Amino acid sequence: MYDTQYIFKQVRKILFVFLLCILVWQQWSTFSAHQDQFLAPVEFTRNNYGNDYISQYGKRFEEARNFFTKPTILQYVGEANEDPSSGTFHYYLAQYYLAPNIVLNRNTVCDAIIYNLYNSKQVDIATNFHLNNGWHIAKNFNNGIIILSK
Amino acid sequence: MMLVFPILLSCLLGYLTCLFIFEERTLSDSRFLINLSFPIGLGISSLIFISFNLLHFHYLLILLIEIGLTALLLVKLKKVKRSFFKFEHFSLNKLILNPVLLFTTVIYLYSWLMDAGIFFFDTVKEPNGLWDAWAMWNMKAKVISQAPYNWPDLFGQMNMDSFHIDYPLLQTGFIARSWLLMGNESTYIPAIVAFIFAFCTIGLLYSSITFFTTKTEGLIAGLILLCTPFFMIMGDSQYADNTVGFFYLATIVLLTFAQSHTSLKPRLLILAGITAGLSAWSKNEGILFITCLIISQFTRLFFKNFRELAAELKYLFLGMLPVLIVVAYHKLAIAPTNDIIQAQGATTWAKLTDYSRYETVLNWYIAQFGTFGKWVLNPWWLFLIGILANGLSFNKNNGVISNSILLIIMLAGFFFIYIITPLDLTFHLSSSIHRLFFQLFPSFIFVYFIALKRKLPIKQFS
Repeated sequence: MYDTQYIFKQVRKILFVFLLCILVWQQWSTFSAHQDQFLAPVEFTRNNYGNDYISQYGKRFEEARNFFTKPTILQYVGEANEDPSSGTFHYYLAQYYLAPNIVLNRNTVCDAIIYNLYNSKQVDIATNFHLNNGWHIAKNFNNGIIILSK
Repeated sequence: MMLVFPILLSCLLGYLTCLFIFEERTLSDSRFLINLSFPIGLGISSLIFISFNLLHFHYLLILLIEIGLTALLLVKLKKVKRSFFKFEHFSLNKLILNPVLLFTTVIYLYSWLMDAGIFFFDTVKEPNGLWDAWAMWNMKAKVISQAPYNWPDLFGQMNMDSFHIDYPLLQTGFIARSWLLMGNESTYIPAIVAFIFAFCTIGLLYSSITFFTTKTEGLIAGLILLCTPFFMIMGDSQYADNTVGFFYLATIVLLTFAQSHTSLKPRLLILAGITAGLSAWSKNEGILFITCLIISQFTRLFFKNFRELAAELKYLFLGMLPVLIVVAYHKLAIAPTNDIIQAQGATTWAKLTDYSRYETVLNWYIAQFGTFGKWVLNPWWLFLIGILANGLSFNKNNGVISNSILLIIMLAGFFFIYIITPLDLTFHLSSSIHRLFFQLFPSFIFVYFIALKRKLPIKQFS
């Protein structure tokens, strides 16, 4: 005769060991995905910290941010013909790095216009719409960021 | 020093507040108290900062108010000095005599260290956090810290569809406060805040399950969260989903503490009210949580009369009230109407009666269960094994029925938000459903472990 209580207890033990094995397997898999980082943490930190795209992008805006002495409403102009997702990404980054200035990606009453020309770097003075309609370059940071004012 | 001071002050404020509310003698395990109170401290500091800032107090004066409040609590709690940081005695003999406990503890510590390492490496790779962190939470914190006296006006002029100006300000407010006190916009602050919320969620889960059941079960509960790869991704991304998830868990844990006892526990209910309120101060989903929480409490009418339930709800509401006042002011006076709410009208009924939308959302729900958490093995099997091995127990003192209903109504609430969303349905689902599920995951693990049938009933809070 089998003692059902005993069998049940043994099954529970087996299931518990199985559970622990799954957890260990999961953690091993997670470790494997980060193995390089764990094996050379100092080197990884030295090579990566501050070198990510977002941090590097911010360096372009350091001077521009200091240019404004009080919160300013800015109209944002990106690259001509940029694809929408890339355009949105660059717009958000501009707002992130220019805060507390407000960057608006639509035509509106604003204090200044900011051009974020991350590829072409310069505006065509002869054909630019804003420069031919009462705006002038207040500051060109020579890194694709140009501020226009009236 | 300036980096740790704003955070340490908030943690101390939270610790003393919890100690004061709890009636110090009832808690001897500071591990539980630390995991519960540090995030609450961050929430209280954020609330104090935004409230007094809106009254145009200088940030140094607000700091003085925080210090004064902390000092006042210290004086009030003078008698309990001896119980500060009193950890449960760690017995190596006990561990050696219990190989299961020893093995589980080793895996837990290994996993904790590994997850802390992953958090560190991911933060090194992305110190600004992922998209929502830098583009919304931290960007708005920059606006508040750089323009502390006119940020509501600036928020009003921002592109509200892009930056979700209506989102509550717990995380944003705390980061802005810390940046103001430090005098710079260090990326360490949002990272440390994210670390506190992620690891205190794990710690709270472990320590509360340990309190109610056994240490081994507590360790397993914590391990499930530690072993879930996506939980750490959510943590180091600096999103607010872990923040709101922590407050859901804290509320459910505190309610279980309060309801495990036969007599009314006003202080625990007040604290549960505070944490529920802080969930609404973290994310808009917190408002849904409060609504579902109140609805779910009515299931307790099966076990107690209306007068007893009304008394419980009264204390719960009392705790929520100060937070809800600030949330309401933010919603009514500063934030624009939420995009989902604003879009409701003639099209709502059409969406509600569109069967294909239900099918789409249901398919996403099912798919989400299938790929949950980026595990090597679907974790739901593990939960099923636990149920098969132990069975489930629903009784009036473990709060399992009301808490389960709360989680189910939350899932249903999320479901209907997707049905009526003005956004492209597939885009909305793909960008948020995994995070919404994760907000509820720690609470689910807690309710699950409490529900497992065991020889002895769960312990009561004395």
